[in-house]
Amino acid sequence: MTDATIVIGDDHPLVQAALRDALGKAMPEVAVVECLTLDAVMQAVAARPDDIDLVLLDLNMPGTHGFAGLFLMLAHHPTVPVAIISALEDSTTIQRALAYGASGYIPKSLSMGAMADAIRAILDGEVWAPRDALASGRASDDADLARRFASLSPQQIRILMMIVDGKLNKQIAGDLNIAEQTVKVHVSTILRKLGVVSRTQAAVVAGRLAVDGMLPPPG
Amino acid sequence: MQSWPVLAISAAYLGVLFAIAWWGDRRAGRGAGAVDTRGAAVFYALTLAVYNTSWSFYGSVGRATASGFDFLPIYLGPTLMLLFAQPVFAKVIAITKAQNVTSIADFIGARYGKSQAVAAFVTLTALVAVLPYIALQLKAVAASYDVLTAPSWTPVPEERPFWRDTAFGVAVSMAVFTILFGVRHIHASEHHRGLMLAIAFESLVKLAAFLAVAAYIVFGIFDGFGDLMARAAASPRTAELLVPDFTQPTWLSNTVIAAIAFLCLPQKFHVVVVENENPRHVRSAAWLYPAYLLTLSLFMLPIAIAGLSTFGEGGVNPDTYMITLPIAAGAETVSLLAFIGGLSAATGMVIVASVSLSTMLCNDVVVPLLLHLRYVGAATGGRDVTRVLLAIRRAAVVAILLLAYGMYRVIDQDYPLTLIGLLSFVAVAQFGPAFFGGLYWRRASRAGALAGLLAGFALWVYTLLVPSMSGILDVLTGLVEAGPWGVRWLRPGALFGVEGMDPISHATLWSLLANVAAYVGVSLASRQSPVDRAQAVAFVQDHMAVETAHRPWRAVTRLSDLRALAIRFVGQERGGASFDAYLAGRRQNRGQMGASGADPAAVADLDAVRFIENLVAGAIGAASARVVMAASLQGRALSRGDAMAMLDEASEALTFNRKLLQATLESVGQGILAVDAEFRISAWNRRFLELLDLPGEVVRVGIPLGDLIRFNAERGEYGAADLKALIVNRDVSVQAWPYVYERRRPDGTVLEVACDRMPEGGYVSTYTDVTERYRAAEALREANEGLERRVRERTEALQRAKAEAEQANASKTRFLAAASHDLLQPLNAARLFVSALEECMREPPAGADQRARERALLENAAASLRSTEQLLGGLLDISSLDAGTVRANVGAFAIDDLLSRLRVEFSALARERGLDLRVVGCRATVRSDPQLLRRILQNFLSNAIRYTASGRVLLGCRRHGSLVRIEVWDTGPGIPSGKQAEVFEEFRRLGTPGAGADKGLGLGLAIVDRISRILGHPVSLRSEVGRGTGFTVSVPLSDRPAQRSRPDRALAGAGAANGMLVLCIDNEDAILAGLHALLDQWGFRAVTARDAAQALASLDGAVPDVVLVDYHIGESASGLEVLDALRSVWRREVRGLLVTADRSEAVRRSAGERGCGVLYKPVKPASLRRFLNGAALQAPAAVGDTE
Repeated sequence: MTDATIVIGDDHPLVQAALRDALGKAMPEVAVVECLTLDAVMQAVAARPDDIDLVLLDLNMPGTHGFAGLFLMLAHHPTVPVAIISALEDSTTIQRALAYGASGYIPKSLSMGAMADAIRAILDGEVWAPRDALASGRASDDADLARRFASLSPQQIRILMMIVDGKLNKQIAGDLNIAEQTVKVHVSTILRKLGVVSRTQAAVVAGRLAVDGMLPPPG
Repeated sequence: MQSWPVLAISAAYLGVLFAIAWWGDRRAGRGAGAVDTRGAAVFYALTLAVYNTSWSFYGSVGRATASGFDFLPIYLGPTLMLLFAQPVFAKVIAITKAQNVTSIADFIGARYGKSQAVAAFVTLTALVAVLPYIALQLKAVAASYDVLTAPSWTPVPEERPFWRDTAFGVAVSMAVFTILFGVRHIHASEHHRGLMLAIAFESLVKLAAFLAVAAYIVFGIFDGFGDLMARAAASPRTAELLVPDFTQPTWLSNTVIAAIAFLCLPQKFHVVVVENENPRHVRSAAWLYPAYLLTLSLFMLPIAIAGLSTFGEGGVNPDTYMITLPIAAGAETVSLLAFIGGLSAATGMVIVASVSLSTMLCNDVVVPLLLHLRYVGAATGGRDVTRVLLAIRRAAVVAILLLAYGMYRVIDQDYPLTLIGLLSFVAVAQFGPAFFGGLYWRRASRAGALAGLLAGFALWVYTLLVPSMSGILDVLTGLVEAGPWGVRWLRPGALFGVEGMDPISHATLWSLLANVAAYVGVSLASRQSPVDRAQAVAFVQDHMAVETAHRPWRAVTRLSDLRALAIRFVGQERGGASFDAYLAGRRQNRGQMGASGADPAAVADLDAVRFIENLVAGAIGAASARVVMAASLQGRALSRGDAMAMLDEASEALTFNRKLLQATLESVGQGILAVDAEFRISAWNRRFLELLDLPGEVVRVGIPLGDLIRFNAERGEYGAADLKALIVNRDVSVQAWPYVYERRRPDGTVLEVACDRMPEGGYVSTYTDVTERYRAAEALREANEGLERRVRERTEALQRAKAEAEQANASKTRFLAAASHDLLQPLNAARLFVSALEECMREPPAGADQRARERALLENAAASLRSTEQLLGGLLDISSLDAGTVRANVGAFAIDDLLSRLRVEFSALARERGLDLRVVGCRATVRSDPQLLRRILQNFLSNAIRYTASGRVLLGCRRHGSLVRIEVWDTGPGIPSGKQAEVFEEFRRLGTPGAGADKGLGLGLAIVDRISRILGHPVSLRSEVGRGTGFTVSVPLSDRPAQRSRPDRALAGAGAANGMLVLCIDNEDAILAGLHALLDQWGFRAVTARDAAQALASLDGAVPDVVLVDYHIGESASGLEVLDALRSVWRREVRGLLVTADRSEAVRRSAGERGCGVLYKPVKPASLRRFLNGAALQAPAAVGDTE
């Protein structure tokens, strides 16, 4: 019997398969849903939000920029826990992820057993991260940024992502299948919520959600 | 009354007057001068009362008897003048003082080009005008004497020979008195202090006498004003008097002529202007004298009414009421008092008038005549002219009084006093246009003045004098009645058909009209002569001191000659003293000019000549003085005409040129300084002083330029370059002209100084403020230089950057080649292992042996892959370090924590290698990023362990000043000193034995190098081949205590939760307790309640950030309804989370409508926490604050 359902969002099929096999070996009680893009993750969750126990999200995958996926998930499904699983394991990235509301941070370099332990802890309601990452207390200058992004609606986050991609209002309207006028209203709301005055500034602020961390040390 | 007491008292009174005058003269002579200012002002006002002659004393009563208030305009004119024409007084007085004017004729003559003709004409007109006036006084005194001494008070006019005539006696005695009083010596300024004192005394006497007599009449004979008014009202004849008729032209005409006469009557001009000591006195007189007049005027009508009601119409000459009324009442003493008052009034006027008239006659008629006859001109040789002048004046006095007596004999005995007076006034009023016009109208010319005077005088004669004389000369009667040649509209009394006017108004109208018309017309039509223009400027412009420049004077006259001239005309004492004082002043002011300027033997310059002219003008008038001066200059080098023209032109040209030059200099924007041939300052303008910040007192005409330079040098005005320029300047002979240089002043302004020679030697410097220009140029130059420098800098920087970029590119290419090679190696190995394993597994399964081989192959493949993974990790690290995205997260921590963890990490590996790892701890607290520092030490340790075949590895630290040096030592092969720098490069591995398969990546030290640069911790290396190697990283000590590292899972309580307030509502206490514990553990503040009421009570006014509510709280309400209720209490959409087991769509929808999250039972902790953390993110900044 499956005790928990976990959605894994990672763009690499091999990694996806390795994770599935490893988790299947280490946590036989868990059912895994594999998604290669953020959209697939969103669809998978939206299908049965109340039955998803955890979403494991890679930081860089098609449809997302760094931490944007965290906010998108928060906006759409506030009760679905999201943890980050990434090859990056520098403390800055990890602490930012936690500051942005992630339920945990699992480096891909973890051994299978440790990974299983971490997932179990998260399912129990803990916020799990490698202990080294928390060694140095970092004053969170991201809190304000996080608060601003958290205030955006799902649609606004999508539109912001498109703005970052350099899309025009018309293109956005076409992609989202909404009226261009509606896009304009959303854009002005986004600018107000982010405290900026132009699309470019909004893109720059949103760009700070990107990650540029370090891989684990050798050995 | 007997005549002898009257005569005796009169004589005694005159004696007192003489004593006062004599005392006053002595006092003035001693230099005691005038009394204090206020007293002087009162004194001045009293002397003005010379205006109130016996006309006022007797005549005004007569006039009031005849036509009521008509007597008043005569007093109104002066009052208006004093009240409203103060500037005119001030101006006239200022001009009089400046020009040393002595009389009205002198004044008008001086204004119109110092014209003798004008002055003489004014004098003769004045004589003709004033003679009837003096005659009036004689008549009044004689009549009052006769009335007083007559047996009956109705004297019968009888023809008497002149030696028995009272008036003749009066005239003679007055002549004697005047000569004794006023014509005792020639005075430079014609001031008669003693005489004025006597006049002031007389003014008091006549006021007192008048008031006493008037009071006796009004209150003694009658019962006060009321009684008199009642009597007046009783008779229509007298009642009529009390109603003034302002529509009568008399009012206007009399006021106008009185106003003019107040200044233009010779005696009035003398008292008001010539004798004025201080222009401010006029201001006091402006209310004192009108008050005097008002006091007099109050009683005129009452006395007239008293006279009329006592004597009836025609019985007694109303002019004598002042005396006849007391006589009629039997009070002879009072009438004697009245006589003294009248005598006083008459003598005052006669004396002053004859003094001033005699002066005018002497200065403006006789002396010019004598000069014309070359009497004085030829007498330059040495006789004292003062005696001659005195004799002339005395003779003039006698002549005037005799003429006046003649006039008195001619005039009809019954002619009223006031009409005689007004006759005079109209004549004198003819001076008005020339007088006042000359003050304000520059264009007014000599010819215009003459024409106006002539026209006015002619019409006066025709319209007023002729009708007056018609009774005496029968020839005129026909003319007056039928008009000349029978032309009726030319009749003197009704010119151009203007009839029905009283004769005075009629004459005033036509004479003044003709006067003004001729004056203006001819002035406009004629050209002014130079001297005319100069004097016009001097009069019209507010009195300005004309400084005379020191120019060579062509006429050769010595100063001593001028002195002699002054003595001859002004007298030894006064003339000599004035001239000596003038010379002394010159010596003082112009000391630098040398002794020559004041040496009596020196040649006189223009300034001296003008001074003497002014001095002599005081004695003989401006017009005559000019002739005299010309005469004294004549015969030396000039003809007389030349000399006169020279005087005129010089004064005009000087005034004009000087003003023009000064105005030009001042209006120039540059500073100008002119220096004469002896390097003395001769001229400058205000701008010069401004530009150089020179105090005004430093620069004076004639001071040596050296003084100015010294002054400037002392205040640090000059820089070295300026001094050089100055020195060059001094050497005029070799200097190239014009010479231009720039001077930078200490305050930063830059002056361009241009010097050029003047034709007569010396030079002119022009100072221009070129600071702005200079600054602009400077700024431009600096901008230019800055631009060039920046271009150069940028170019260099670009070149440097380009070199760096090329180097980096080359290094990256090398790096990539090395990396590709190093990556391919283990991958190839892994592929081979996997192929071998595949081969192995294709064989049928075998026993444990086979299984072990397969496992070995698999492990090898895994190791190869791990090696690849590590290599790639290192490469990514290097790239992110190079990209600058890694930021040091510096904090304070205990170094021991780090070291002990490293010991745990590496001791197993070391043991595996057979090495002895020793870690020596230390208590120090350091400031660094623990993770990055750990990466450095990890690399040191793994290198040490990797390359050391046997022996031991030591990790230790030692304090070194403010640093802690963390060192890793091994007993490995060592690094040759030549290669020690290379080990920090990428993929640089020293060919060392022993490492075998576990070959290093060659990236470790490259990463160390980059991290140490980010952290600012220097890394050093000491090594000896064969002995071992030591790597050291130096870390700063921290002055703050270490932050305790949190336990592994301590994050649970920190971070997002942030003390957020969560309200949990459920009807089961067990669930509430569990939730409370869980939320506390997660760092939230939990409040639990069973329902809304309890919730509000527990919250105690605070508003939670999130409400966690169970759907089934009880039977009464659902959780959502409770939430609604609470939200309406808080008036806020507090975030809600509904916990329910009901998975129906209805519940989900109604929760969605409220913006409420849904969590199904059994509650998953991860989901709950996720929701709460998200809510904390979305909550406002002040999360956790209670309200």
